[in-house]
Amino acid sequence: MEQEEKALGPIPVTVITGFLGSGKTTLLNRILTENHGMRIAVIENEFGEVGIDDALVLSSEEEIFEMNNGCICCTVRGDLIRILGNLIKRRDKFDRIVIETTGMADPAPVAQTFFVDDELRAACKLDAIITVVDAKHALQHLLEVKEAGVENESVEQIAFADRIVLNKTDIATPQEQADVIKAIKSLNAGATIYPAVNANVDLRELLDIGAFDLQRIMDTDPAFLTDTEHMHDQSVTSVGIEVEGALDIEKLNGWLGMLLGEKGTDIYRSKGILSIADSEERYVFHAVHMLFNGEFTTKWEDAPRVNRMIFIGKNLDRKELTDSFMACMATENSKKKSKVKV
Amino acid sequence: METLEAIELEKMPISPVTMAYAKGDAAVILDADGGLGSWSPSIGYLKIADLDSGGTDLSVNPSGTVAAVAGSDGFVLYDLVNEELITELRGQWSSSVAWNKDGSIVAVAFGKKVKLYTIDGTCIRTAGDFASTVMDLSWLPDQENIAVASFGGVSIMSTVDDIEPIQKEFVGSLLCLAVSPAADWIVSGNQDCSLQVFKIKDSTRLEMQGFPRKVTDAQFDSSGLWLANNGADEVTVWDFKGKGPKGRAPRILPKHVYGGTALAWHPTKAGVIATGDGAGMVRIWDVAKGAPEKPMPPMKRIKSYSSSEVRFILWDSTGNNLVVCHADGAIYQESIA
Repeated sequence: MEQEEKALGPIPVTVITGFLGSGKTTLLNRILTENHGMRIAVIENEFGEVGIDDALVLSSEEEIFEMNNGCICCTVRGDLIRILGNLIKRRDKFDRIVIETTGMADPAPVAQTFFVDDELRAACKLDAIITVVDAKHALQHLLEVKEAGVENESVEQIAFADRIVLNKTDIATPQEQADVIKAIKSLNAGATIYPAVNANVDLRELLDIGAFDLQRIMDTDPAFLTDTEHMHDQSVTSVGIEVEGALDIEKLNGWLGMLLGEKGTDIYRSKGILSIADSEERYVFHAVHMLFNGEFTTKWEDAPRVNRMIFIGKNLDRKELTDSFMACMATENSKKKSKVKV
Repeated sequence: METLEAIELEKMPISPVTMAYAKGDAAVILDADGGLGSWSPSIGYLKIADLDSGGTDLSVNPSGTVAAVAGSDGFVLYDLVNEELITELRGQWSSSVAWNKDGSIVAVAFGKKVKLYTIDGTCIRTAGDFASTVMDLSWLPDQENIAVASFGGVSIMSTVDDIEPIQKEFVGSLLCLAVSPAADWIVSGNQDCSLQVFKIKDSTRLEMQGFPRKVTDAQFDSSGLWLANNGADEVTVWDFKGKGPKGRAPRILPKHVYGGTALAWHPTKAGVIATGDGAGMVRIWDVAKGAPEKPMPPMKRIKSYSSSEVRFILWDSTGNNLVVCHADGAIYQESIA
């Protein structure tokens, strides 16, 4: 068998979300039919929409359950654990997995599945969450006021996205496009937006972008930290922090632990590239709700030691987040303490 | 250290998932693509059928003539003698199939339900609407009840009466089940890296937490005195003598690279187990000779013919031979005299 001759690395997984009718299946079909030479396994909610002969298409019925791991907001997708577990055993048959969610799907359990399940963590690499947005009709979904305690799925899908395909721009007026772009940026300043007709986006912008790869978070788009306005009547937003200097690792860990512990339910995603006192290397982290992954990566060398961080979620208090972050900056005393410890 | 020579080394062109003995000395093998094949030391691997569904579980009836196959798109009953399909049911995920002791009925996990089929392919009962897709099922020794694993705990459902299942609650996602031969304990391995132990007769529940990985395999030995489970770089063995494992430290079978990927108790010798790991190593242990909490040495190491994960180990009914199957398709039989 071929699999003994070449080492097969983790399988890249791309998640496509978006409201019903936004063009998810159109994008999926484009990915499958593009001449990229990759063999793709597709997990979709129902059979029949995708009809590509060469693709391995598996059906899933969304099955969400909570985890007993102390994380109150931690839910995972049991159906994905099962299906991906079976696909892992067929690793030599394909090069990539694409998961197409339903229009009403919450992306959090999908992303958290890759954080929580040890088997999937080892065998798969969550590459990115791509959200397809209907340029003509998205705004009405985004502005829809839900009952108390009910999440607006279209808002969540944008908040979780790494890339946004603004589809159907041919039927939206320039003003409609400008309005929806403004709304998207107010929810998620970090995601890059690609205007498109028939989901026609260069696939190099959507695949292999490593949005959950700590080594590649530093390549994040400059829009990462764009300061944006709140959308009217909308509690989901993103807060960026950018500051030069070095952080005290103990204070930082204490603050992040407390913040994600107390407000992790509201903080959908957070990520950062941080400068830590007495360390030559960048500290990079990302989190989905309370689930956190961080490590030291490349050396700063001559690059300016600028801390960059973004939070995306509900009810974020920009001033409080910024003040708390600033309180983690290393003082001369903490640097000395840190040096003694090292 | 004793090293045993392999009779034959062969690599099958498949990614095996599980296997079971059929009539004669052949093993039936299910692969991840849903292919059914057979393997014997004298003939090697032969493809029997492509069942066109990602393979998840296999159970062969006691006479070795009919295979029940579970897969990502349903269930198939297959006549191994005449090599023909008996029946199939598609459209739902099936994680588990299990024949009863006399081979008259096979229980099939089908989505959130359990179905019972006779050997001729007649569905005689559909039961349950469990909280999630059924992940595992196991007949109780009375051959009238089935333990069913799904989210929220174990359900003990009758196969003969329309009575509400007995619930053994645990708020978590269950992955595998083991029922003790004396029908006093049910154990589940779980997604949250724990082992839950339920006493069948009352509401006692014991919890073993702290495994670094999810527990996907837990098995009682033939005596019911020992239970082994994976979930760590060590295989953990619990002492179920008398009142059970409460307050007793487990035996530790150490040095399983990437965890115990295959566990197989000896069919007749209590406390003797073969284990395989992620690096292709197979060892045999006599757990009764170990001390609680102290890592023990193996009784034997089997010569490894592949460094890929051990997917399955199968003792023959005499306990004198062991078939080892690796993820890369390597398969061989060892004589353990």
